[in-house]
Amino acid sequence: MPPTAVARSPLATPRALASSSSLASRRVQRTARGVYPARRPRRDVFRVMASASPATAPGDLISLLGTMDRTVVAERGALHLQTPLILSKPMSERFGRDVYVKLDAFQPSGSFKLRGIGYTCQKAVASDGARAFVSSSGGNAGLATAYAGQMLKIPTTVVVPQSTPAFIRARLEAYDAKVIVHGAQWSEANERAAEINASANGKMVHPFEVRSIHWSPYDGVRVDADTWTGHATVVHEIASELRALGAIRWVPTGGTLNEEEEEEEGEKAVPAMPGAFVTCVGGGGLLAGILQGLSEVGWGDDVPVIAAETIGADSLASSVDAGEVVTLPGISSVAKSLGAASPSPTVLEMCLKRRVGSKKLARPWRTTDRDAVEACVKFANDHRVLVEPACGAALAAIYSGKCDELKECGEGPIVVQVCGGAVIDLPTLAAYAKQFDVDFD
Amino acid sequence: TPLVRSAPLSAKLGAEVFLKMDCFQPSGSFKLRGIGAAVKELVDAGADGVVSSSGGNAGLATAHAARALGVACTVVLPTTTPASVKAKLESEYGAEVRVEGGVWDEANAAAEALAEETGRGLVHPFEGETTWAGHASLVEEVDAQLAEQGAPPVDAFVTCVGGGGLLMGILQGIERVERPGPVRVVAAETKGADSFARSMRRGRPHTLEDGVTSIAKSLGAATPSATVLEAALRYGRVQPHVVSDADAVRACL
Repeated sequence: MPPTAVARSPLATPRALASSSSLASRRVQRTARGVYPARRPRRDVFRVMASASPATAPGDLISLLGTMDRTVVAERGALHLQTPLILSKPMSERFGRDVYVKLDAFQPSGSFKLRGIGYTCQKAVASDGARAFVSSSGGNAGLATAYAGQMLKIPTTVVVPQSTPAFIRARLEAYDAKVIVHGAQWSEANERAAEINASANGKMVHPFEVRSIHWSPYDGVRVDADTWTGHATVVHEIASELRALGAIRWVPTGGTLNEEEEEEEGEKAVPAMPGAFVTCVGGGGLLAGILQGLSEVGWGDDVPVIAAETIGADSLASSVDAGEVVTLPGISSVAKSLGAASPSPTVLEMCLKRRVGSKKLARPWRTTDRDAVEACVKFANDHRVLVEPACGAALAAIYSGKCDELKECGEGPIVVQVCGGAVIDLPTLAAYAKQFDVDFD
Repeated sequence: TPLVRSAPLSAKLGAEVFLKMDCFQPSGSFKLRGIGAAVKELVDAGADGVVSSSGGNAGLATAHAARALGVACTVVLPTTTPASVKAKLESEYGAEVRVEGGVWDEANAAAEALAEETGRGLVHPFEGETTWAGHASLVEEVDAQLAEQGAPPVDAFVTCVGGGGLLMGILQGIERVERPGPVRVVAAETKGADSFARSMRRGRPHTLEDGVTSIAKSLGAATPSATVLEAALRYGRVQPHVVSDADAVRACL
């Protein structure tokens, strides 16, 4: 049965606990505030919010968990949330066709990162017996790791460079992470994190084996595949949500459309799939997850992905142009969360493979800091959501009107992955707006 | 909608604080829960359109619901309504907007007359059993989501109060879910829009003498619903809480 909200809505299901049963005969939760009958999370639901999205159609076997290992996430569910997909009326009006936005800014740790990192952490605990997490990211990956550690009750250490703002350190600590400040830049913090990781594995630690996971914020040292499988869930959710909203057709899994369901005369057929995906790219983890997800839902051969970067953080676009990995001399964009000097080689290869032939399914696109910041401001005014300039790069594909890569795509709606980002607040956005001469209204 | 544990607020309060993000409803606020249900009920009963007198979130929810169900929506607004509101309802939500009357009561009277003569359903911004039952869905969601996240059941709800529709929905929702102990409900208003707090103190509906003077226009019911007030008094654990406009704005930031 598809793990959807309405199918398991509390409105339909009577409460499981019988008030007459004694506490002794049932599992209980002991908290500081007292003892409660324990309500077991439903095994097949991964924190899908009740009634969060309309039901999937009968016979549609798309699972919102994608190819996540069910034994890993079964007990407590996945750590990320299914986030809202909404039709953006202002953006659709600007663009001239339907634009849907996937609001991953609403993930608990503030960005999409929790999808992949949450899963990697759960898998590390379930499959490898990891007893500690270590991260070297003072950005969204670090926040996602700290959140995962708090949720899984695993001690987490985050090593951050001195340049990390105080409010990020405070937020990491609010997730119960131990924060160590080391080094002037990320590479130094990363080295120290690796040392901590290594020593945690060493003999000087407590007798029973302590395993810890350390990864680069972009790929994940352990296995890239886990982080990408987690990120890929965003596509599975979008597929389900677009169908439920009637924006794309229902197609029974493994079947083809009945001839009678074909376009009737005079009526416009509902498209079978989105016209294009839009996302921003840093190191390429999210892009890889999206490409993987597209393949998994059967859209891999047809739906192009616009991969947006800002000039000054455009390592992927530069690498695709060159046909090989290009390392930027530095990051000169304000979109720090896109700040990978070089993209993941595996992701570059995935992109180049998808540019062979006429369809160009992977389409890097460059925008300016100014257009990205302006997109952030417009999006905030249109939807009352605050995102980082990195995310603004993706939004700029619609708001700037300058994305030629969107000109040739399918008939279906455009879907923009709003990756979010927690390293932003109102004063910072206002300062960027001033810096780039962007009107705040 | 997502239920998210807020780390900063939990740390600040020294208790587990969760945020029910109804701001992410497609129409922009929780209103769609109850009003969506109300519009659906009207359409199921044969109405070919709905009428609203709200230039605020209730109007947006009504227009959104009507459009989703494929029926017409007319919103009647007083002349004092800003042009941007009219534009938003028309262009973004596809509603027909009529401007009549100098204050809300006059626009509302015109809306009632229009509903009467066209046979279309009038959707009240906060009154109505179906509307309250629709809002109550949020409590059941919260209850299920807390269980999924391994958290204990809710001890207290904090909500803001305008006319009282949301509060009523929460009270009804609490009745429906199983809970080990009493659930407190903190009902917040701003000074200058605190008709509910004053009514609770007096034990009967009280109309603000100066009208609504707070900037929190969406709380702007000069008199709360009598039915909701009675339910709140009977529930016994509704705690009114009045804050200044400045504190409300600071909290938004």
